[in-house]
Amino acid sequence: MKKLLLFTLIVGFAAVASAQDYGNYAQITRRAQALRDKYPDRVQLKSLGKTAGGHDIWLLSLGKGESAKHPAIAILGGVDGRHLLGVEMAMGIAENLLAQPDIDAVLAGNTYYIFPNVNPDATEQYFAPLRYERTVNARQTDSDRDGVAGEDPFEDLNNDKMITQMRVESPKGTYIASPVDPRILVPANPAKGETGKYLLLSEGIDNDKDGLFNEDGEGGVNFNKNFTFMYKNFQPTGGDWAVSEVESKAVADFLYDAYNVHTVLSFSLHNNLSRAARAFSTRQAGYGPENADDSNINSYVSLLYNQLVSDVANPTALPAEGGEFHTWGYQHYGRYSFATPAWWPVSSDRATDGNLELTYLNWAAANGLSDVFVPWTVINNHPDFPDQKVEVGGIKPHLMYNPPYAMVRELAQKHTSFVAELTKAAPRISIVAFKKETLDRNIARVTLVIKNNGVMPTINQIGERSLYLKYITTQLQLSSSQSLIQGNRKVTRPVLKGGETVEITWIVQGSGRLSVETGTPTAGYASAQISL
Amino acid sequence: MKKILSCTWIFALAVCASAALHGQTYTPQYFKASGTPVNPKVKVSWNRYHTNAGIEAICKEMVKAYPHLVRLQSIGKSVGNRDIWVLTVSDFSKGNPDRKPAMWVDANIHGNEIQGSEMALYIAWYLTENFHENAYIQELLEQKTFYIAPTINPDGRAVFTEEAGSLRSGIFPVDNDRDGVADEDGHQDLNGDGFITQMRKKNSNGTHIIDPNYPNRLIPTPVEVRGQYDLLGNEGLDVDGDGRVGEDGQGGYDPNRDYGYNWQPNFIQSGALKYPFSLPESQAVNNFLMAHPNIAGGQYFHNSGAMLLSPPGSEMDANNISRSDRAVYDAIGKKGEEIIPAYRYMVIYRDLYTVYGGATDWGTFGRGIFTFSNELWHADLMYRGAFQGDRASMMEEFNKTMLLGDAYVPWTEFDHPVYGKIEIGGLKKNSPGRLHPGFLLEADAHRNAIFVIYHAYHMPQLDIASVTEKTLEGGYRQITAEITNSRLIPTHSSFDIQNKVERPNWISISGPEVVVGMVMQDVYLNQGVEQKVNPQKLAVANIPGNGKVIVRWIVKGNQRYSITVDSAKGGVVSK
Repeated sequence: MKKLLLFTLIVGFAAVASAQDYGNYAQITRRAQALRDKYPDRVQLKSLGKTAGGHDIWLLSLGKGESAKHPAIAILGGVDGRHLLGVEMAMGIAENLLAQPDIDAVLAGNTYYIFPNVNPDATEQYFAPLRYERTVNARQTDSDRDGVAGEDPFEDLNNDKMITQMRVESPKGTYIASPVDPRILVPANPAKGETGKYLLLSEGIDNDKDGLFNEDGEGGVNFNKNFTFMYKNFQPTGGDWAVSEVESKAVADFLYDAYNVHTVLSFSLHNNLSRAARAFSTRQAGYGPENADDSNINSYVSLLYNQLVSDVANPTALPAEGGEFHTWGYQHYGRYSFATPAWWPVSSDRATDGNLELTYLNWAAANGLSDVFVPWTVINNHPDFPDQKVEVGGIKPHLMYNPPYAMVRELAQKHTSFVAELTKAAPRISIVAFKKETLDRNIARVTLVIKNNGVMPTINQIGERSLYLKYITTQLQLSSSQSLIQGNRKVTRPVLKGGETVEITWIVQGSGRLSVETGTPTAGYASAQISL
Repeated sequence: MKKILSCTWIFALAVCASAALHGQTYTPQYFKASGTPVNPKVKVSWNRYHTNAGIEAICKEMVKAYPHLVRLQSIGKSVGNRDIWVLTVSDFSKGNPDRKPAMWVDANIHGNEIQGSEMALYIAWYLTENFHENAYIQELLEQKTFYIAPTINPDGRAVFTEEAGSLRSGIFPVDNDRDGVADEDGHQDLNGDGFITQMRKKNSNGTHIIDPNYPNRLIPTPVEVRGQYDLLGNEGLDVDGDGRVGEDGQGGYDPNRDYGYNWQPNFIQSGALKYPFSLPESQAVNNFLMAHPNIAGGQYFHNSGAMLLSPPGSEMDANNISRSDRAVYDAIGKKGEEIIPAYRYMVIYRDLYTVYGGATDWGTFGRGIFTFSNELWHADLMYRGAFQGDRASMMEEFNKTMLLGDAYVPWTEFDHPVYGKIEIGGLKKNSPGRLHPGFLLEADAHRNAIFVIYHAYHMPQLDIASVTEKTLEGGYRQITAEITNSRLIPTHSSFDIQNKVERPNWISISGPEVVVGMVMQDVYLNQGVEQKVNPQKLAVANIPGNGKVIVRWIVKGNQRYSITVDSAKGGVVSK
């Protein structure tokens, strides 16, 4: 048995060490199963549903004992289907956390819900015979809402098994070659006296001749456009209504019932970590006034992130357009919600600022990466542009968001350290005192003092208003020989801020042991006893 | 005609003969009142309310009596595992009911707003029982379909009609007091009389006294006298011991905030749950709506206040009802005010309150349907003209005089574990505060049914009104077709067109090879918009109400051809 275990360990380690590229669905599934098998008393693996593409949405729960009553962090990968790195980060954090020597002590008071990949249908396109940056699941939709579904997909015009860009020399063009790197097209700027030369399109044919290229291909709905905050119906790839998909429903259903989650960390192409985002209250059409207390927490978490992971405060990241997961996490779900791409290219040339493609090419050159760009090559007789010069080329799919795999291990380690520190900031209820003052014979005034020992409040400023976050509930367990002269056996209090204490008193008549339990799922529970 | 008559005569004779054989004489028992079937096959007393079992029985009897006009299906199960029934009413011998322009009617989304179910059933009953002798209904059911869901909250209905309680929501558990336990401290029928009423306790310094005019009622103690009672709220105990009574009962949410357009969370829109369509009931309704793009009109029955409410639910969408669509609402709504006395045509957000994530907004914006929500029943239906400005007294007088006291549970003594000796009593949940008294139910049901029928009649009615041909040089023909919509409602609302909610109408020609196809803006000045791909199947964004669209094809040769208009909400017509 011992031998077999050792053998398994070696093989397992070899498999991880030898990985040369991002893990596909089957490999990530095997890694999740391996964790469950290796740590059966700390890890549960559960499928929350099957996607239209036939993939399970896996959830790894890391916890011990009554784990639903311990403060929890939810960690998600695959939030953006182009972002393989996010899947590796979520999976890597699970593996690294479990390998830490103090893991049992951590899990005695904390729980982690790790979703390695919430959009496996999309990420699998990286491994497919035709590779392109896919964000949508496999449920076939009519993305351009013309009554016909999937009629205008990409076409691999240069037969390189990849979808890149297509540029067309045209009098209608609005793009020019960038003076910084002529391979990249940038919008012509009339303020500089520039006029356009190229149309810039995705690689393919306008099959339905509606003037839009490849706007209704395979699939689907984008997980990261399908959440309720600032959601707009009828947007391409956003779904017909919010949380319409197997993936988004599975995640939202689980999280809403996980009352102990105080923080959500998602890996996507959005960033509110390396640069702290101010927290704003939620209004029907968007944001309301600032929630200053939550802004402070955001600043602190950002500080941790920049100490432990990154010293680049301002990476290029996507702007939020509505329906994103991480904005939902705070504005509607009412938890602290942090998002990061985990890695981003950095350029040594200020002239590339604000342009991800130029930044990436600069970074790639500085790091000695070749073979990142498909050179522009002429496509003859394009059916939509029969007499025009059409070229296909561009940065290869996925590269700008996913660094060479050799870098993944260190990134996962850094992010694990960050998660470990974030765990320490969690709200945590403790009993400072539970004492009695005898007023007369068998009548006593009983006082309980509870404190939130964490940095974070038990629930944040959005959470205070949401029905789905629980108040701190204090329950006095009276024996049959005890009765209350003043006060109630159950007392609820909405929130305790980090470091805040509260005192509750009762007047009790009776004798014997009197016990109390207090707490809330986001901050854990504590109990105490006295003798009357 | 003569043959049919003689047949009927013979049939009647046979009935008489058989009656005579059994030693009885045949005496007609009924004489028709205008507008109502004299001897309906499905007997329903429209002066009482029905449990879920009662609703199901009526639905099944209708299907049995009129299988060529009614179908019944369960579209899903509620939280409490009860069926959600939908009746399909149409003339099944005249076309596919799922391709005719259809009217959706649902009721009882709020568990305590029960009369909508009877009113919805009445529509189906009235259409089927009158079908064989009413030409208007025959034509209506040839052209249109009605999908009627008598209750989309059977759990809430069960609580109201079979238990003591009254729920606006269904029975999905919600932890309203946020203590980590759901539904643990609800109101209870302490004295077991079948109604949850109020608790009061004698107190000579109390906040209330008995109303000298209506002794069932308590009124605030006037300054010049001493009090008699303290009011302690609805019957209940502090089950969870937190010092509050009945603060976390069954359910406790709003199913009409669970739909998918402009949905907002519970701290912005109270009553909302996790996300749109998080309840099995609203999911079932939406699955049906999504599967039936032929639904062009919708009415949602609520109570009360006699309001014919048009969208939008929120001011954010004020500009999303275009001027032309508002004109359609105005025309139907104003007709409704005429049809149903005391009912007023209104706009939800402007005249009632803001609703995010409501069923009407989902119908209107999410599905491109022209919708009304009807708040059934109004105090003005009790007495005309009298008691203006004192509705509360009107209610009391109505109870005393017209219901001979039936709206009240008399106050009786009760030993309460927390409050000691108290009295329990007060208004019953079926009092005319929100529900029709029996004798006024059928009249209002009929008027609301007629309003639904009027709305349904004005769903798009498409026709290929004319086809003209002109021979062009070189063996070409120019074929021009005029497609009309002879009713008020367009095939696509303006919001629908802007957002491509529903696919466009397809107007196609089959037979000859098509060289050019275009939708004409002006036939005389030769202005048209050409469709470059598939010119034989023209995509037309809208066929306006009481309006037309003209299409033109240039075709090769002399082959015969046919023209088909295929509209999701306007049905299919061919020529």
